[in-house]
Amino acid sequence: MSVRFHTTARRRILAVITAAATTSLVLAGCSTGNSGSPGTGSDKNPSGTIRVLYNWSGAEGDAFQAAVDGFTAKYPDVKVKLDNVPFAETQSTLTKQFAAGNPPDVSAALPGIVSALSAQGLLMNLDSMWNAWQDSGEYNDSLRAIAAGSDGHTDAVYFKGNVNGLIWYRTSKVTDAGLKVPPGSWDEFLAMLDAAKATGHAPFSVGAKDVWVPTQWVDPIILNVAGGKKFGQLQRGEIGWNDPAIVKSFTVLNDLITKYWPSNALDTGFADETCGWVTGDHFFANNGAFVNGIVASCDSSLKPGDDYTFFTMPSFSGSGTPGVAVSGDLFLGAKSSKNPVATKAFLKYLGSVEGQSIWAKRGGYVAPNMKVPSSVYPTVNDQRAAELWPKDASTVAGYDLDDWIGGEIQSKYRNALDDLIRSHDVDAFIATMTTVDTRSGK
Amino acid sequence: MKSRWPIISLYGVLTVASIIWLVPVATATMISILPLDESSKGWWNADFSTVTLANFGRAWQYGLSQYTLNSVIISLVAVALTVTLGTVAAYAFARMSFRLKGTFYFLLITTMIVPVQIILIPLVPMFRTLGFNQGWAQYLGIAFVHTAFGAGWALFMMIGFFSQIPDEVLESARIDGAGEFKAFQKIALPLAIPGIVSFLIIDFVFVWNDLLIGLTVLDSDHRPLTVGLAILQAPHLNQDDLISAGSILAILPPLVLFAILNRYYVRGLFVGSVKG
Amino acid sequence: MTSTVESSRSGDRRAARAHRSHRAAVTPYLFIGPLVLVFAVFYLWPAIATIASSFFRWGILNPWQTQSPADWQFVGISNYGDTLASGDFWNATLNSAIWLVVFPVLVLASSLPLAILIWSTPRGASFFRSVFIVPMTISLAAAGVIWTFIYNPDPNKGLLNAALHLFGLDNASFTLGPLEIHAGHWLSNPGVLHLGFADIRLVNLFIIIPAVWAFAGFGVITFSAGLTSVPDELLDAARVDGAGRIQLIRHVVMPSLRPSVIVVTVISVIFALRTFDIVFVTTGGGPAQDSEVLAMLLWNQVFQFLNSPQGGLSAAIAVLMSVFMIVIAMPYLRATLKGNK
Repeated sequence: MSVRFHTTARRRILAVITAAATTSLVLAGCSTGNSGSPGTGSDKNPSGTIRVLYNWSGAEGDAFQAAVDGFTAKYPDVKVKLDNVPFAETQSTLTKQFAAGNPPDVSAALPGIVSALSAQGLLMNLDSMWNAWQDSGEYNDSLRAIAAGSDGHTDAVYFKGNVNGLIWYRTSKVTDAGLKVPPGSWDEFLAMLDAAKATGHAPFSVGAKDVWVPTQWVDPIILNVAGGKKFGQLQRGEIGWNDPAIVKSFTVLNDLITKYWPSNALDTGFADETCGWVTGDHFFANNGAFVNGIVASCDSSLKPGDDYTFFTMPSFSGSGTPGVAVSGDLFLGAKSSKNPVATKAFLKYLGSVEGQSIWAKRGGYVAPNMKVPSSVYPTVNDQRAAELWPKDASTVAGYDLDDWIGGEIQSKYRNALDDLIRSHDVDAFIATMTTVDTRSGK
Repeated sequence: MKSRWPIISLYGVLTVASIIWLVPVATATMISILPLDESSKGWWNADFSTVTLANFGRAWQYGLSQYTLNSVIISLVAVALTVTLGTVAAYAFARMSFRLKGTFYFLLITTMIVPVQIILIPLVPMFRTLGFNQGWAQYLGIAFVHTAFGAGWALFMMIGFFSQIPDEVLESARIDGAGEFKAFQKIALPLAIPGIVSFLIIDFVFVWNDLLIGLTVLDSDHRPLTVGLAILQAPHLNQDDLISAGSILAILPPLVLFAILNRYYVRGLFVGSVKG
Repeated sequence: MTSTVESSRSGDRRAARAHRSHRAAVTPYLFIGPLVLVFAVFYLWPAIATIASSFFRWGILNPWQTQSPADWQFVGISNYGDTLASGDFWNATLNSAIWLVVFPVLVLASSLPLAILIWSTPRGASFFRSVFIVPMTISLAAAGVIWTFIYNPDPNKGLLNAALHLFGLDNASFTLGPLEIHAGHWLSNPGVLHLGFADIRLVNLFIIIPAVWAFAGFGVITFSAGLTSVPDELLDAARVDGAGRIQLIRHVVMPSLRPSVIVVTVISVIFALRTFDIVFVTTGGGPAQDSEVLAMLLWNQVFQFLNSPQGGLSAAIAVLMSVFMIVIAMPYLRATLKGNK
């Protein structure tokens, strides 16, 4: 393994390695491979129509459309029919369509749903595609493990990466208030937040009405307070939520919520969160790299880097660099697709340097493909975020906790977080999660 | 009346209540006809020289045109089926006697009471088995579900209308040697038309306003306006302009129908709810 | 139901006369056949499937189906046991119970006085009636969306919070005995009523209000219809006796509105238990599970909780909801049936 991805399940990695080995044996045995297999040069010319389900809107929707346009320019015989669903409805929509026997050929998905759908044998096996990518050094084992299904194959491509735990701010506003950024230590961080609070406004803008927003707060804090190892164990269900290091993490989070969040966090959606620090009363937001692409919707005159930028949270313990919280969006192919050739061509395009460079050029995006050069990113903010992407072996990284777990635990975890936000009761949160997530047997 | 005060306070209370009742729709209307940066200041502070219909155009292009078409098709097919099958059946329940009449009536009328959740989930695999899961066949599938689900209401209301027809009128048709179907078609049906129209409107409102069944059994290309509106509203983007325009579009057709056929609608509810 | 009773009896007489002809015995079934067929396929059958599937373990990706008995995992009544033992179920039941009580009460409390006021007006009755009936044509989904504009927490956008701001009450939190209020957080955390054995989350109330707004028109129409049946002689007689307006309403008008009150209550209860649309568009059941009603829980279990397939649990909830509804609506149903025998 080239990256110490503490988050990845041993089981999954094992499955991937086994699958990879099997596939390469098969490929060695018969050179043709299956019809859509990339890298073997045996692709039929993709044509016809494919239906693609995605969940971005606004500027992000436009960026995805541009990537699709890039694909159709390359394969003019293929017609891509786009189907937009709200982010929060992705899983239920996809589930309904698979259950109805009418799934999209290609769909955006998170690891949790890839795992659930692949368990029923509904997803296209993309092992050969990944083998080729790994051979050419575009992805490493850890990135591949995120896209692994529970059927022993890699059943998705990793299209959009993201680095979380970035503290965004307006440079002028922070300077005017006399705040010192970036803080060099946790104490300085808290002192800075206290100073911000003393101006009479809650330091952070938080859009917790969108259920994924508070979850983005948890990951960097666990990675920082409890460390990458504990993060991975919690994710895999090897330790319970009542592990002292995890309880400590949520106590730290709870202090931040109590002192520095606005009282209207649960009323505010993500879009309003961003405008809340860009044009509103708040100083900061803790969110992902993709925020860089959203800022213009609040104030299009701002220049990334000069007018607004981010820092990462300082180390809680004071030693070393905290692990990087990453997340991102996968795309899966339906096994029952009537047009497997075009489906695979599209998936391959989404995972390729070419496909990912299109959105990378527009900003607010981190390419998972390691061969996408940092020169394609349009702004200094995007470049800095992309540099945080865990390509090399020394980086400790954790993939989005609840997106990875998925299903009932994810859903109830989000509910429990909502409750924590308003009750500030860490013990109740830990007790709830201990009953919800029984994987560790504790 | 000795004092004018009771009458003044009566109208005062009703006027205040009316204003309260109209505020939500007025708010949505205001937001829908203002540019986003104007409505964001609060529509009551807005510069009304900026009034525009552009939001409707954008919402329409955003996908609402397809959703509207879907809603129209689903509503027309479902209402046509429900009214046709319901009228014929209601006539039999009102004017004929047959074995198991009570049982059939009981079963059909339970659709009014039992929550739709009792059928919802099996519809998904069932549509797949019956081939209603793809393309335009979905319109037909959901129309049948609405017909089945509306059966109780159809009977509940229309039996009342057929019952009001005097015995002698139908008797005369039979003496003339006409069969039961002739009597229904030539005599009962024309007499019951006002009642049927009022049921038609109520059923249209029902079907047009359904979210749950459409959300469950239809794919993205065939989803109705209610589902489209929920989807437009869900991303929590700054798009109140589109959402408000969408909500106005969604409430307009039943409203127009109501305005045109107001008398029937009210009458239908009168008969259906009190006499039925 | 009176008209139905009369006509059915005469129908029986007619049928008795026509019984000699064989055709007459078939004709009624030809009339009801098409509707019964559609009902059987698209209602009865899925309803039976729901009931049957509640005794099995399955998930929506591999749903329980009659034609594939090889996949059946029979679990007896454990779906019911698990449901009744689950905190989620009781949370959703509490929220649905709030709907079942508050929604009909608010519908009655708004539409009955309005209908009587409208009825008392010498002129303009149809105008006022229209104002309250119009929202009836609006879907609960659209009503929810429209009210989110009113509830917008930003005092620059939402009318209610603009009003609170005017009085300097934005974000005011206070406690009144067991009642905890957070002003301005209409759809997130507006407050809690601590009852000791249960916490009533007020967010439910603020979802119920738009539903009442949309539904009150039904009450207004029904009561207006009921009021036309108040005998004029009685009213005149009461006036001659020198009865005041209030007494008139209490002793003469209200008794004749009893059937209308029953109709409005029963139909409101039916709608309250079904509630899904308006919760789906306003809060999605949140925050946390504060506004998760039974229909929402059922939906989440079947479409979101895939890793631990819970289709059978969803089916069990659907069955419990239906049984409950049939039991409480039974007296009403029996009255309807009696009218048709």
